[in-house]
Amino acid sequence: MGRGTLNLIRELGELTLLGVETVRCIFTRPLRWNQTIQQFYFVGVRSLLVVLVTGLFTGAVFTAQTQFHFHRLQMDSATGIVATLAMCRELGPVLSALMIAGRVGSSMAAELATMKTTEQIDALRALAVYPIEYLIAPRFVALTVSMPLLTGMAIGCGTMAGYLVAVPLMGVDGTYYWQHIADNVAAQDIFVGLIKALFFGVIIATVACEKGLLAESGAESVGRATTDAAVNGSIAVLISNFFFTLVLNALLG
Amino acid sequence: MPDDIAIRYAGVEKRLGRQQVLRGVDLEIRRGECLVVIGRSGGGKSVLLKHLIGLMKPDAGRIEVDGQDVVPLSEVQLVPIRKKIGIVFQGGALFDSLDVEANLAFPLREEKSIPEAEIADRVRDALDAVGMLGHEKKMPGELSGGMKKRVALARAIIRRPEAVLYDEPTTGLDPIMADSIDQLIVRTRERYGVTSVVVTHDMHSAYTIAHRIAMLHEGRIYTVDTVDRIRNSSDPVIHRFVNGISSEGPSP
Ligand SMILES: Nc1ncnc2c1ncn2[C@@H]1O[C@H](COP(=O)(O)OP(=O)(O)OP(=O)(O)O)[C@@H](O)[C@H]1O
Ligand SMILES: [Mg+2]
Repeated sequence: MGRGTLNLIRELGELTLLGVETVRCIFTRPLRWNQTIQQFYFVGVRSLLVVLVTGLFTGAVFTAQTQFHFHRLQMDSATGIVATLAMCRELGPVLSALMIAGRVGSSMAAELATMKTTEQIDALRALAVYPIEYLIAPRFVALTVSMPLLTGMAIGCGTMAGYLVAVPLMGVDGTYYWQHIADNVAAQDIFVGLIKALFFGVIIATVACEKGLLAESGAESVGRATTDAAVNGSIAVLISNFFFTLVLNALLG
Repeated sequence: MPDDIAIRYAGVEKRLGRQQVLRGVDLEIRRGECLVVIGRSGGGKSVLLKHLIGLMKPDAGRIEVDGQDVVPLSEVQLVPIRKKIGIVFQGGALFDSLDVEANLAFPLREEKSIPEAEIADRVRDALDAVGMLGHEKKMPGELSGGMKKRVALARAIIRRPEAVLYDEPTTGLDPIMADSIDQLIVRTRERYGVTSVVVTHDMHSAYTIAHRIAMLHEGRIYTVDTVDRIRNSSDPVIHRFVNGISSEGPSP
């Protein structure tokens, strides 16, 4: 218990140091555009399909389940509202972030850990190139910018899928479905989702980069960094989401 | 003449994990000389080199480059030191994501002031010098161990540094290629007056290129001496090492 707590504190300390140093670097040194665009392509464009499919089927299944129960309670008119709110505020950002933590976080950690164990990071430093500037800042920026964009698309897809399930498939009145959503879901709800997504991007990038940079030598440690980045990143997203919900609800309603 | 000394280690100690790797290293390297460092595998030779450019920080001691102590310097303050010292890592440490040409151009592009045409010329010259012309577009993963070494060596000297640290540059090369790397080290030193520190296990190579040979033994510099005196030394530690006699074998 004592040891576990200590490790957790040390881990959080390392994460904070890296996060702060990265943000400082982004604001005080020129951004490496080539690297950033490359990462943006990898993080954003190559993850598009995964995130869209996630949004699509989450929206579909959540709407189907909600409508199934609400119909028995004769609350059909609330289905669209509940499904859309859930998609915007919770399901869209969280599930997209989990997919990204698994897909992008782990491969970032693996790449950086490999560079660490093969002394490529030392080689950068030896050539007087600051690794945070060359490797970390581009990944951090790419993930932080991509996350809200991807999440926005996931929310859009999920909402569309919800409509398709509720209206043509389960026979809810289409006009009222949209009307209820328009009356009850505000721009604020989407905003909350996108803000969360932005912070999830920061969290996933920081965890992945820390795991990669602190890897010790050997193939085994690369493997450990990879799974740790995915698992710790996902857990951090889930836990922090709870607090984001509390804080954002208190601030924005 | 004090400023004859380009690099000085004084009382350098370093503990890594549970092992006391360096136990007070004192070593002076003269400007323009070729100093070969020998010592048992795992003895701390690579660690010793990494300290010089601040990749590792010692627990105690001073490390001076041109009279300046590099130990307290931050990453930013180390930039000028690192620009004048090239290093060939033991494993090459080529950038996986860049092809051979881009690996060589990397240090030059980082200078931000060298025109692309000149970079292309210098990359071609460097590849020519290590016998790697025609492999420009290969990725590091497609190269043999010896080819990686040669590209790494070319990358280390392409900025024409004042000093170059070579970590086992000839290990794993065939004898012909090893000899040509030795020649390259000698030529680089002669042409640009580069101070050279070479870590090697290859005594043939050590005898060929060294002005002086230093032996790292049990965390300290056991001896520094000329090639002839090391080769003919009757000291049992040195004699065993240079002749490759394990301690189980007959002693002299
Ligand atoms: N980053 C590190 N973390 C922990 N221990 C390390 C680290 N780097 C080196 N060591 C340890 O320090 C000792 C010296 O390592 P070093 O690589 O300097 O040996 P070497 O003399 O270069 O050996 P070789 O000739 O095999 O390359 C080894 O026991 C190694 O395990
Ligand atoms: Mg070594």
